[in-house]
Amino acid sequence: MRSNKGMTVLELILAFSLATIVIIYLFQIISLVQSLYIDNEEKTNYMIKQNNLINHIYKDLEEKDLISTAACSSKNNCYTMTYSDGTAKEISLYEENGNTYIKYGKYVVNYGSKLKGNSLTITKEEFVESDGVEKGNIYDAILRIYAPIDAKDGLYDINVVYQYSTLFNNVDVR
Amino acid sequence: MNKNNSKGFMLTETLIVTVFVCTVLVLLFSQIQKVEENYQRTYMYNSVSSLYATKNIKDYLMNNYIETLIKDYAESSEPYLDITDCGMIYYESSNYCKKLYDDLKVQKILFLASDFYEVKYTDIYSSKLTQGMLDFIDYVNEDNGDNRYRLVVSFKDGTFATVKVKGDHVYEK
Repeated sequence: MRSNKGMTVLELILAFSLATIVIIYLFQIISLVQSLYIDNEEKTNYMIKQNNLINHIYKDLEEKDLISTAACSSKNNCYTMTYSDGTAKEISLYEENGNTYIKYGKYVVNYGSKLKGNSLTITKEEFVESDGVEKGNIYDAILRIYAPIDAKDGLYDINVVYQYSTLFNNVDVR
Repeated sequence: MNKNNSKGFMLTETLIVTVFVCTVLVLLFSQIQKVEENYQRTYMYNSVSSLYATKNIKDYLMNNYIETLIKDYAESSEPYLDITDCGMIYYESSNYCKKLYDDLKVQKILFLASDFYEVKYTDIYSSKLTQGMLDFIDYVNEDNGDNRYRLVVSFKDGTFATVKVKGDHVYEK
């Protein structure tokens, strides 16, 4: 014989409130996981691009001597880097269709529309013996390629530092 | 014939179910937090950019001061040498050093044995290192070897990196 008494109001209220709390909580967790997945996929993509670009530049600097860097005549945030083997690669930061790009040689990184880069600079500083540097024995010059990228966590800056000795290599920065 | 129960749930039953559900939710949440922390670690620890920066520091030190560093580390009672300050004896060329660390956005540089034994087993509450640095050291695999050392560097953007350093001589600590 079937029971026709059902649940008491108290039981119903308790069951519904418990179920509501659990459902809300689960939805929060699902949305957290979803945002974690989306954010991290985006972040990973940017990091891979940045890593590849940095790797390309460092490899060139390690494998051949940099002879000169010169600002491009027609563009801002653009330099031509000339190496000892006669190759020349252009490094530039530019915006196109709302997207930010950094280009080194043929390698182009698209940072998308969320990340903005304001400037690309190449600076060089040489140190003399009064700074305590012995000529020829150790590095006495630092060249820096720097492009800050606006991002919450500041992880996507292009910051390449190249140490060298002016006795063996004198980079002309123009 | 079924006998109907018109009494509803007992308070204990309700409490048990509630406690069970809450525990499951708390465990679920803590697991997700761990996943998030691990994600963060992959970005903050040993990224390509910070590894190149650390290699730059290593190249600079290897060219000049590595043997002195190893000797001083062996004689020191501390579990690590903090070599962040460019005014130290290792850096005769302190202007160069300052510029290099500035450009690389260095926050702290430690020189220590690659087995991390002394740092890992020192009372962390008495340690002068930040929790972030201690977490990173804890994360890095120990590497035993007679003349193996490590540079551990933290950067101003919150990233950490470490590279191995090999000395020519062995000094007993």
